[in-house]
Amino acid sequence: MPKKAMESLTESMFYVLMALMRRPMCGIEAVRFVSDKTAGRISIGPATLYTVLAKFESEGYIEETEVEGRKRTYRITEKGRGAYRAELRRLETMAEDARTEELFYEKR
Amino acid sequence: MKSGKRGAVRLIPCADYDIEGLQSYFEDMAMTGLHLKKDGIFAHFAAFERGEPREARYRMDVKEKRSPIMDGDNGRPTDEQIELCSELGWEYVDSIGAFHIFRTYDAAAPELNTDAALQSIAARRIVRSQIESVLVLCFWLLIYPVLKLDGLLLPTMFTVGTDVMLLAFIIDIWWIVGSIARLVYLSRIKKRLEAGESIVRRVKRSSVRYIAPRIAFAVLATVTVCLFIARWSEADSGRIPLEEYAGELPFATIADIVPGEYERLGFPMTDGIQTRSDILAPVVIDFRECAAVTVSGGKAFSGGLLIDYYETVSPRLARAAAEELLLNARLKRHYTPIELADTGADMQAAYYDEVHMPTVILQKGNRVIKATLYQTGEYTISMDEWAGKLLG
Repeated sequence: MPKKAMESLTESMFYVLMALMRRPMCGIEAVRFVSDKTAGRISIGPATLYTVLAKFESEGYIEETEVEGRKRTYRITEKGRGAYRAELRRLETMAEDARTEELFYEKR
Repeated sequence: MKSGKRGAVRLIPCADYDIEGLQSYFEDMAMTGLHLKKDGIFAHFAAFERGEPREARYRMDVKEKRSPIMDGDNGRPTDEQIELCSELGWEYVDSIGAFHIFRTYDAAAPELNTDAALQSIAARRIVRSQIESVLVLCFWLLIYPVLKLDGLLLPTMFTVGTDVMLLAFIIDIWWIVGSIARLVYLSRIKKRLEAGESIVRRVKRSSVRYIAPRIAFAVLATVTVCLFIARWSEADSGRIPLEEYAGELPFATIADIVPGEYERLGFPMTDGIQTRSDILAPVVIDFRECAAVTVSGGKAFSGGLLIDYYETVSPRLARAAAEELLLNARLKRHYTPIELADTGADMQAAYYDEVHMPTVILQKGNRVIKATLYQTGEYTISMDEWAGKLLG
């Protein structure tokens, strides 16, 4: 567990950014996107969702584009895209490290 | 507790920070057909609506700090929070302590919180604020009163009443221990969340175990406040003019110190006596005298005698009280010690106090006296002489 949330993204944070990378969305659309994308493996609870959105908004990763009644639509900012890509690279590096380690075990 | 066909009101049997206790309690009530009413919590009482016994999930969610999308008023979630929850099958019911209470009857609804790591950030925040609360409580209930006593613990106990002071101390400790218990519970919750565990475990809390200590605390606090008020009003009205006092005094007064033609100068501020009795100090006297004495040869003594006198249950206690009185004097800015001839006391000290008044502290057996004699006439008496006469 990182000391601060933004040192690395949790799974749900990463997927919410992924959803917003596609297009501006409201919270509930992001939840549906994540559920579809992960074939139901990851479901995001409402409290988790608004915590993520609040955190992202205060960090400047997302910004509000539209308010319709109680529904708010968000879009990802450049800073948010940067955070998403940095996390993606981190995950890829981890996966690559794990793959090379697998090869090492297979050769033994 | 009130119960009717349409609903019931119950005292919540667990603390407002007991996340799992609260969740389990509301879920158990739902299974009996009592469903927490919207905005139904008031002063730790919960109002329930009667309905069909149903399985419900109740979840406590930490109130967020204010931020651009968390601008709910009066500690309620924002409209957007409520909307998001409602779209995913959860309804906001009420708030208690640092938490919002959400409920769902939909077994297919996702958990309210699905990211323990994120939840642990909120938990860390409330743990931090609880640590601050414990420190603030310790300061105001323990450190500040001790600092305000200026080293005078025993004399204050004798004056205010040992019973009141002890009760107040027990209440302070009780309060602090309660706050520490809250901190320990929240820290455990935080650790579990950091370890990736969810906090949806079913627990059963005993209402007797919750209510009994709180009733005891309320009774203790009421008794203490009543006793304190009684002592306060006693202190206000207990002082009488010296001429109305008929009892024997266990120390020397101006008439004993300066023999001659005595005339009392009865100024209300400087003349009077108040006696008290305490468990540890059965005789406590606050004595103020202002007088003029014409001594042989026609010279006039004029001055005032201020005395704090304690007769304690043991010489050791008297010694400790005398040392505290001296410590208090030494803590003052203009404390200047004075040499004093042997008065026959077990412990003696003399000094000029902050307004340059000659003062002595004597302890003899179980008696302690702190006396200040100021002299303004042409006839004066040396400190060695008047101090030696004080305790006889």
